[in-house]
Amino acid sequence: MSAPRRKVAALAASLSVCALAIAPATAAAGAIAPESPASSSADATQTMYWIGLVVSLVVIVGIAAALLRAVFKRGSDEDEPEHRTRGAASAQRRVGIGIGAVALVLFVVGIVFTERTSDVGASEADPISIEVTGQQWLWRYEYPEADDTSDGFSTDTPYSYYDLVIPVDTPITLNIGSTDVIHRWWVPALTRAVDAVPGARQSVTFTADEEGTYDGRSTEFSGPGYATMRTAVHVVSEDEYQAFLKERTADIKAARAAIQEKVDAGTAPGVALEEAGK
Amino acid sequence: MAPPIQSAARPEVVSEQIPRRQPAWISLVTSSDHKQVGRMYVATSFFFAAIALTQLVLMRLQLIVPENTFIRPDVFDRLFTPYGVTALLLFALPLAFGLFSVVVPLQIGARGMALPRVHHLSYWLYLFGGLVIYLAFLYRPGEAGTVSLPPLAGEHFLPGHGNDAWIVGVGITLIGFVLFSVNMIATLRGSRAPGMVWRRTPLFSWSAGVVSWTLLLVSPVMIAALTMLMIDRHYDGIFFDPNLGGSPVLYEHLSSIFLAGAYISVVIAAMGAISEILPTFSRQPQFGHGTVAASMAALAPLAVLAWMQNMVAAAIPVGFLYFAMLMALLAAVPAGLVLFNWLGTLSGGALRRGAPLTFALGAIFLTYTGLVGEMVQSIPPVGWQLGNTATAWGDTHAALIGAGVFGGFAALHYWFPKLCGRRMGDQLAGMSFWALFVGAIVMIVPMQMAGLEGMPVDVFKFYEDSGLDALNLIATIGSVIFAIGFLLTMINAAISYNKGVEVGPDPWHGSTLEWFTPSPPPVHNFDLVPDVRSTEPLNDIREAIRSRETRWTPPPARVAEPEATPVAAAGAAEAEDAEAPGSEDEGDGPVA
Repeated sequence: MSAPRRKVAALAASLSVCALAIAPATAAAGAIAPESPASSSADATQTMYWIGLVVSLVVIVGIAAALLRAVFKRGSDEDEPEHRTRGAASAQRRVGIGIGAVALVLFVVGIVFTERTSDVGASEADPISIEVTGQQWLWRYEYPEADDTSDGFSTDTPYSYYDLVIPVDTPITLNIGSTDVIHRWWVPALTRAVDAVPGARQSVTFTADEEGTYDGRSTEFSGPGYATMRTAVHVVSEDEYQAFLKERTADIKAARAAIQEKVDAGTAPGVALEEAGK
Repeated sequence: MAPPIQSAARPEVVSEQIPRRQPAWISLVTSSDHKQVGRMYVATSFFFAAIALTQLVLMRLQLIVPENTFIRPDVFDRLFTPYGVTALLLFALPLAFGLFSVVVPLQIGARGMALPRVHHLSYWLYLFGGLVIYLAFLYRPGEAGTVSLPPLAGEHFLPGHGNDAWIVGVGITLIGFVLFSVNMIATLRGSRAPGMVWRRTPLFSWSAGVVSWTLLLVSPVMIAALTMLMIDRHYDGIFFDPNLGGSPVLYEHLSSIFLAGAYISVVIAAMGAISEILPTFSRQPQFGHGTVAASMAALAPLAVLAWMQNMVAAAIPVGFLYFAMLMALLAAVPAGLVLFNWLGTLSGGALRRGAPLTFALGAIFLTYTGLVGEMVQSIPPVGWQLGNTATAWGDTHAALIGAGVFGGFAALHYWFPKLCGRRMGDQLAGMSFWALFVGAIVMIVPMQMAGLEGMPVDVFKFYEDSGLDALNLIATIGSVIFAIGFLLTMINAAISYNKGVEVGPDPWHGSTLEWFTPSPPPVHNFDLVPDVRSTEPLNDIREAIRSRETRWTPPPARVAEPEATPVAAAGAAEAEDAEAPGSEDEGDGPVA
């Protein structure tokens, strides 16, 4: 009676262990791996994630194995329900201290890696400061003015929607805020998640060290269009970044000039409507 | 007409006239008997569970393929906004309350609740709170998300009265929770049987106390937040208006404190039930009764103090996050000790099978999987990686489905005889368990993976290029299997309530006082309440009966004749006790 049961138990336990041993293999295939990091800050975040994942998998597999063992292992003496055990205080203390020690180690490791996420890399350059503003349901990025296009008007600040372009290997400071409700700026390959709260701005500094395009999503519910509130960060070389800024500025100026021309000629849609209203 | 009854043996109720017979439903809704109120709590929690399940399956169906247009975005928001409170505040906690209501007075040997009318009122506040939340559908329903976070929940973004209905409904429900908690604390403090000091209080009743204290402390926090939100919406308040000096982060704090408390309350209630079921089914006392009790009491404050782990991205200093992380990780000590004692209880004994045990084991696995996930997410970098993604959704659902559904169903199967005198069907219970377990795993694990691929929570659609097709399809299939499993238990309970196998006072061979009285218990619960001398009063009584029978030596004068009889009887009694009392209507309650 008990031998086959024990075999089933052993089989089930070993199967589940095997299944979870495959986990690291599938992780390599990307099933449980987040997007690979492209900054030292995201590196630290993901290292901590892997530590946390391994610890929790070990704990969960341990719990499953212990439960299976307890269920399938028959009591040594089935005919003796009077056989009673009381939890010895010393055993309880040992288990409690053991778990507490693991928790404290994890706590210290957590602090170490949290501090590492604010590491901005070796570069001594002043960070480029970019204003990030969330609103229902888009992200607006305002770049510092490029030197040679400066004409003293802040309205000429280059800006873009949805897509953020930043130079590689340069510290970037994002000042993240919102004009309406709370959003969350989340590009896991680059840096930490930051809430965009109306009325105050939160800053985060990081250095992207690999060119490429990184997807981000808003992860704080913000209304009906929330699922569409995506963003992409394009990490490009310094030259491309400068070229992008020039192009943006030129485009914005050209667009503004075109509108002004229409307004002056009285053919702008708004003007036409106004006149029709009169 | 009737001759006076001549009996001096038992106390009797004397009435001037025979009370008028009432239809069953009138006596059910007007009675303030704790068992009747408990039955209504359980039934109503299932009603709201059906709503939550419908919402869950509809949301999953919308997410079955990328860029689905099955449900409009605003309708999707109206589905998921009440889903959170329905599942947590209208199903999981009230199911626990219902079982607490029925079982705790029986377990502690009380005649009823300390404040029966308050108990009754708490039920009606819960029911009408829930109905008011759904009254929102008469207006423009609330669309502000699970906790109704301002400014999105403010009048500027959601001017309709639907969100008001949501706020008022949740507030009324929580006032009901406060009354229930006060009443439960009063009952536990004042109505325990003689000899039942705190350290001998059964663990389910103990967990009722811990849950009640937790909810008594955190519910007013949420009521305050909701009141402030209401003032903001209608009376020009600026509590959460950032443009006039208010702070939306304040609401995040207040609602997180409450949610942390509600979350851990569901978990602790399940822990209490499991701590009764495992000893009964492994025929052993709890490995360390005191440790489990102390751990549950320690878990609640630690989990509540870790509320800021839900706010990893909020505008708060990182030191606060470290504090939350420390509290969450330290909570692993009591949670782990409880588990250690359960394993100790299980491993030494000769295990008996049964639906309550099966559900309890499923509950342990799922709850602890979720708890481990939550604890790891309290480490800030992990929280930044996973917070508010489908992974976090999966962890929360693992813990709350494990504790609320599996733990709740384990308790329901275990104490069903005390609700109606019958047992729930075993076959349906087995089918339901496997459907629920497989469904939960198939729904949760793909979601945990989807979060790593960048799927946020609460989205009404995902894009084709995001590589989430397969994971979402699997999760949707899982949610359907899960819903079927849930329905099976609801059907099982509905059928068994009137047609199940009738059982005696003690179908499981339990060791606490609720098994001392008939199933279902009479209105006054106990004819007499025994003195309690240990954590297992019923085993003490069995032991006393046995020793009286075996140790009794006949007086010398009568040695000749009846010597054989008592010994044989005692031998038979012992044999009966030793065999597995699996046959349900054996009813060998110690009603000597």
